Amino acid sequence: MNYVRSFFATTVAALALASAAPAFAETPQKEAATHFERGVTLYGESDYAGALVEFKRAYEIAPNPLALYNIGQANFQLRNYATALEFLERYRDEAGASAPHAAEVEQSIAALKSRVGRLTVTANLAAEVTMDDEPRGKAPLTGILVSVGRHKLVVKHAGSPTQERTVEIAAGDTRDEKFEFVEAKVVETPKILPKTEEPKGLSPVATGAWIGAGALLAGAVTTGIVASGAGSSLDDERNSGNASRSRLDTLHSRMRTFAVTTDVLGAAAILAGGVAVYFTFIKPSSSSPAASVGVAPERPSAEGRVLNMRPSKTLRIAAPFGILVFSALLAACSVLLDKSKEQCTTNGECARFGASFQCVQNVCVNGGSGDDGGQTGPDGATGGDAGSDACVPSPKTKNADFYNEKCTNSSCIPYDNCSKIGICDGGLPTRVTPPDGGVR
Amino acid sequence: MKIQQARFIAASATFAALLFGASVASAQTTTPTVTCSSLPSPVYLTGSSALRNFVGVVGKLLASDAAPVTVVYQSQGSCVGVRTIYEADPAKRVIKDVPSVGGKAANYAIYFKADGSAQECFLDADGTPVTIGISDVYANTCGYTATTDGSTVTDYFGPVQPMAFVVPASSKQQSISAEAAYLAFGTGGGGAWSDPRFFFIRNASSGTQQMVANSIGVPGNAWWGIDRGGSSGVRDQLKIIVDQAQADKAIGILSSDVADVERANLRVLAYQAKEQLCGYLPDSSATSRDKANVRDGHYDIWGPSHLFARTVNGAPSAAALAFLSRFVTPRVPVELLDAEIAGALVPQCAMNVTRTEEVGPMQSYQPPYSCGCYFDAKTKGSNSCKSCESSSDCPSSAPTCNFGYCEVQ
Repeated sequence: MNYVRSFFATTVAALALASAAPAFAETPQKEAATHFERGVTLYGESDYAGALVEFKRAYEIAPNPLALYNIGQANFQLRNYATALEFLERYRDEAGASAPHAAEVEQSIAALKSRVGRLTVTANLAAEVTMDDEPRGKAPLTGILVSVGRHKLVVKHAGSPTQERTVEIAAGDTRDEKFEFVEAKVVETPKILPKTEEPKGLSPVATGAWIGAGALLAGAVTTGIVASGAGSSLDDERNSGNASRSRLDTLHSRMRTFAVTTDVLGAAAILAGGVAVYFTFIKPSSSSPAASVGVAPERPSAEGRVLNMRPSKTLRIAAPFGILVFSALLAACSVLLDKSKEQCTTNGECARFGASFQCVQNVCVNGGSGDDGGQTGPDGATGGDAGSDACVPSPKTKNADFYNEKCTNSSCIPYDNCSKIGICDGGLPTRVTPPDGGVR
Repeated sequence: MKIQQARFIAASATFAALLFGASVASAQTTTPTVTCSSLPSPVYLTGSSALRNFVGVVGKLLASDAAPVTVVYQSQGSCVGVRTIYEADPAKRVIKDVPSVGGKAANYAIYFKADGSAQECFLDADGTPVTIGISDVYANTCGYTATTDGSTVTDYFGPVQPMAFVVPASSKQQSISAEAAYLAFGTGGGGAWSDPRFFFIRNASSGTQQMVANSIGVPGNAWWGIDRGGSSGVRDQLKIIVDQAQADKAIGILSSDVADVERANLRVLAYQAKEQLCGYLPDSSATSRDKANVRDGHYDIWGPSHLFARTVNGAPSAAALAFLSRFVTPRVPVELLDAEIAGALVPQCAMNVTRTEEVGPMQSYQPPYSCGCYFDAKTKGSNSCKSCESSSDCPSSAPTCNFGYCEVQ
């Protein structure tokens, strides 16, 4: 918990970074600060994986040691002890002994050192090493830091079967893993015989257009999937009794952004497909008879003959048509994914969550007020047109809910009990009566 | 060299003040020239020294009425205000002149004039019965739950008063947790604050101290530190500290209205209550005066001011009513609202949280006649509310036009 609390110190730093950015008027710093703040928010929501990505991005854009600290903490939370150790040591080295949290970092480093072991991987032939699906480089790898636990070790040598092992690392272990590969026999490449006929291919324009259409289509499919996922998340949020205005806005914005991107890519795919169809079927070049449809129409076979990759006539007609129809569907993504970001417009629509829920700013809030969107501003002040970017405070049942409400414009200054007064577990010493009894 | 010498002298003076702080009275007054009873329709109040400014504002308004009422006030601790209403023995429900004795400064009653100024006046020789006891804290915090003579006392709520930890402006300290305050005031020291001679505290009768005590878990009558006699004593002795080493270990408690007017010399610390993840100031920032964190519950040490009066059949005396009538209405007069805001207090109508026990559980609150938008406009210079002349100008989401702005109600 002290890690989380101390983390708020870096929030202040992030805000300082953000506020400093305009002074420098440098876009990268602003962008880095934005990623950093987003990471802090995600961290606060226990989305450590998401926070990690944001902190890494912030550091890539503007290398600030604070980001290293946060990357280390996020990895710690994800139980990536080895990586956490690596980053916290980097933070210590780069930020120096007088840096914020220096004492705490030393404690963390000490704790992490008891949660890692070392692994050496060797192979008799050049081989690529992957651990837990993460590429780690070429063997030999000597003494790499590894978190305690079970790890999947995969070693690949071209031309040989891939070898895979599960290794268990305990704290303080130093393990050697050796891999033996058999040299693959050199197979003589068959001689390619002269072709009896010049391969028939597409014109460069048609080829380029088909490649472009394919790429655009693939991009549209990818963004469409993301948009659909955001749409599903938005549905989930709208059906949740814990929905918040900010999350609804974020998910809706994400869905719209990717849906519109899909529209654009889909439309571009249609255009490129149209060009490709034109130069393939309607006005093929003299050197490329209207024949083959494909990205790689012909290639030599192992026997040295040319394989004709041309599809059947039906396929040649159906494929472009299908691609164009599919692209058209993608181009209409934002229409097909036209989901509202509002959870309610009347109190009655919130009854499904319970009698105490009311519609506040088009969000069902437990114990809220107003029947049609009575606004509650970021500072809690009520009334007026707060605007769509105003956040909605979460329901509260105890003082800690008020204390730690994130919906505020106020700055905060954390007091780290652990580092400042040595109270790390909340336990307080027994009170001592003053010499005069305290009664005055 | 001159600078160093000046600092040395200032530091020496400060240390002397620290050592003899208890002898400095909070409500130092000069010898009166008039008797209070000779003034027009006097109403006698006593209690919290932290509410002196607020009482003065009401006193000015009442003195300006066509049929003027004179507010006479003697600054004492909140619990004295409670005691002078709850006690069964009439002899204990009076206030008396406190002439200067030995090294102790005089504490005469003062009355407020229509121009806002105050002047001392003599109380009756045998003591003058108190009309209204004023307090920062609930009666039970001072040990009173009911009168012993069967009389009824009503607790009228005034504006909300935040209390704060303060340090000299030159101190490096920026925030404090409930746990750190417990260590300092409950065990004699911890962390940056380890020398009780530099703790600028009050006493068990102080509402400021009692309210803070409830939040940090140290009984108000068992604090380490030196009683500075009143909020002005804490303020005056703390703000003269310029030596860096002394400033870093000095800490005091004040009501935020007193601290707010001394921002150049004193720094209010962000306070992190138990179970709170980060410390917050009463205001949204060190430069604002919007009491945003008091109003929404991010800041813990606050409570309504209390005006205690004996009532018969639910009604106070005519004299008490003259003062209380300014409050016992959902719609506070705008001039009083302005005065409360100017005095760094938070009108009940601007609050979004409420509580019914001393620094107790908070609940969300929608005032019956909201002034949140008006409060924002006054303290921040702007708000996000729609301005209006009547409720017909307001949208259905905020249908009521209060003090020129559309509110929920």
